[in-house]
Amino acid sequence: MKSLLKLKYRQLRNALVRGEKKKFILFFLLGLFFIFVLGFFFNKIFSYLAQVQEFPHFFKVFLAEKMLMMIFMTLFSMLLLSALLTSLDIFFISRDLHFLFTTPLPVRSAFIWKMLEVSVYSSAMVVFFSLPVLFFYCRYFAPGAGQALQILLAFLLFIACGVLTGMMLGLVIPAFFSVRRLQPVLSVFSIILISSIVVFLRLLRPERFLEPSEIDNVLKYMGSLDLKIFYYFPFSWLARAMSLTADGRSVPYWKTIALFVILVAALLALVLWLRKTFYLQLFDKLNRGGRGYFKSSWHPSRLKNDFLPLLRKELKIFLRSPAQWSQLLIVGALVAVFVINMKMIPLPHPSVKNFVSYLNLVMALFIVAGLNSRFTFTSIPGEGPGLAHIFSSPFVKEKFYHFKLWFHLVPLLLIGFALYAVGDLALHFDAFTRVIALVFLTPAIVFLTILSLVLGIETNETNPLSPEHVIVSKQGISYMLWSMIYLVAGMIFLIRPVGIYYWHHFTHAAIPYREILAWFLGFELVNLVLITFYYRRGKKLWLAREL
Amino acid sequence: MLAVTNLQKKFAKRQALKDVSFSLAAGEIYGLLGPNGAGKTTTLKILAGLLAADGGSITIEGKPYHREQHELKKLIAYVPDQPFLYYKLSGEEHLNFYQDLYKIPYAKRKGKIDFFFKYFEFEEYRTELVENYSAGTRQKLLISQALAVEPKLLLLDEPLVSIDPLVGKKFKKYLKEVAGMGTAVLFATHILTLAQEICRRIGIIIDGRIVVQGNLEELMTLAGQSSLEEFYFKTVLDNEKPAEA
Repeated sequence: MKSLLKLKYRQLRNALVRGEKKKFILFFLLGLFFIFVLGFFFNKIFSYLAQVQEFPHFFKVFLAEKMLMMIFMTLFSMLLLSALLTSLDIFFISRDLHFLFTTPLPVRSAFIWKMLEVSVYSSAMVVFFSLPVLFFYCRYFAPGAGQALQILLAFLLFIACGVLTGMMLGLVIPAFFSVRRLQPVLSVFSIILISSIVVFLRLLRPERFLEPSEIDNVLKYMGSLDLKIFYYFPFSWLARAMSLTADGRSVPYWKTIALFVILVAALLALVLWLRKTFYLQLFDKLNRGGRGYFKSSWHPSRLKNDFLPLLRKELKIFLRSPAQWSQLLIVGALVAVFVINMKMIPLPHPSVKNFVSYLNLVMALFIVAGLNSRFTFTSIPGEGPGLAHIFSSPFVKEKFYHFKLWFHLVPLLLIGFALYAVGDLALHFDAFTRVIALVFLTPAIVFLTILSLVLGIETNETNPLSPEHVIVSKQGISYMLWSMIYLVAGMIFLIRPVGIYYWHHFTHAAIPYREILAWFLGFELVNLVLITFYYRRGKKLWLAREL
Repeated sequence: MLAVTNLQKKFAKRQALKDVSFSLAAGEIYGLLGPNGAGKTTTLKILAGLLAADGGSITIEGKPYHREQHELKKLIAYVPDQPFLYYKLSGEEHLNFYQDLYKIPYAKRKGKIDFFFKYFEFEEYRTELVENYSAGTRQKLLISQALAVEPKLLLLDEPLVSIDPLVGKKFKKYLKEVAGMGTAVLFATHILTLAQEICRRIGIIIDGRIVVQGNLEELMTLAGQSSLEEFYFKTVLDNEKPAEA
């Protein structure tokens, strides 16, 4: 165990020494940014709840408990699925298992090491999201150091419950299904769940929490959520333990902790028993993978386009990779949230609609930038060593670069304009916003697509473990930062002509079309320069690329 | 068919190839032998277009060749030393995809694809995803893919790794047949018996330089050795001595 710990430490150290320091710093800063955003949100909510004068303290704690239960219910489902998927991966598919089992290390020790790995990998995100919740709850409801420790203890036991339940399922399910076939199905399922949660949370209209006049509806809503069955789940126990800490009721608190400890101990015993009884047998089943559901075909085509074989290959690989197409479900959820936002958005004055239409464009571009990060950026590195076939064949290398560009650009342009159209259909924007959409969306989508493709080539990655590994590369993080900078800069650039138009429209003055046109042309020109620069850079890098 | 003159390649500070020169006539099988890291794969990768040369020249059928020379690339097929494949395609789709890259008409390819699945005995994997193939079956697919485009110059990097002896025997037989029909074959290998069995000429590359090359029997007779193995070890040891000293 000590040697394995040393190995992990050395891997991390080597990664830092090899110049990945910048990546870690960027990651840290991004994490910090998200923590601040979440912190801002929960600070608002808990401070509001704590400071409402009309409610007695116990009622405030009660309200906070109900809200915490909703939050932890979401986090618990994420934790459970994450632990299940990670368990299947780490206990059965992990590359180092065969090596570990051939060493004199006892299987039990190797398994415990793998349990630690599952715990860390599956709970990291949930712990990360929970930190601001716990911090601001403690700040407003349980400010003492002892209280904070009590909450921390309950939280750690909650995490242990989720992780061990996931592990237990991960050790039972392979008895009935092939791990290799099950894992992608579960990945898709988890993505559907996460997408549903995103839509569900949006439908809850969390903005109501900040509106005192809506508090009656919120209470009714929370009442409807207070189902008896929830009291059997650890997320409810954690919310309860936090409430009891805030109320200073130590006996019921320790009773809740005892319940947690009993469950954790039982789950741990069950996991270790499953390991002893079934694990190695199940591990042997590993290579009995299924054939999968697909039809092998490559029919002759009348089209003589050079892009055709590449298009066929891309589509086949995309549709046969659940890790790829399932990401579109998240996009679907984002679009649903987008549509709901459009429908629910309060408009105090019709003129605000114009402002909304402008923000709508930025939102559409934000989604396009996200899609680029996941698909366009990872596209060339994701080809992996298969690129050897392209490079060694008579296929013109430059055409491959063009294909990759068009393959992503066309759907992204369609998505970008479809998102704009959704807003237009919901709120009936005026004709000028359609002009802005054309002026802003078209070059922005082209630029973002080229930027992501070029930075993807710059990674020089030829055999990535997964698209996610490419996304978190130095270039991946650069793309995220640069695309955000570009969006903000573009928005600021075009605010002037948009403002001029609507101000003159509002005051019924003559609209200075020439000035507006000059701004628009300026925007197009800047984009043209950027697009040309990155297109050429990408082409040069691509043609010089070696394998 | 192929003439390589003073080929050079540098990776960061390491000079991987130092003035590598050799030539191949049509129908000739040339074995490139050498220890790990000597430059065999680098040479093949440059010829296949995966790497760009830093110096020297290559001509194919008398025409200057570089990796953007797509017309000449139609004459070349390459089998890499690792199973570089698209795992989410079936074997049959993979072969068709490769044929499409070479713009080989459908009417011409069907029979060939059927032939190789049968010849290399992996017909039952034809419609199976490559990700479910064993290492040997992947290698069979790579070999079939290269042979099915009927190249004039075949570049093989350790082609018999993971292949069972029976299919290996068939492969060697087929290789001799295509060479007989005029295909030049350049292959890098560690398997000395294989080189002895099928190569007409060999070159031994050490530390990025071809130290000896020529007709197999002549070379061994000159060096006073009875087998390629003894000749190879002597050559490698002789050429490593200055470095050790």
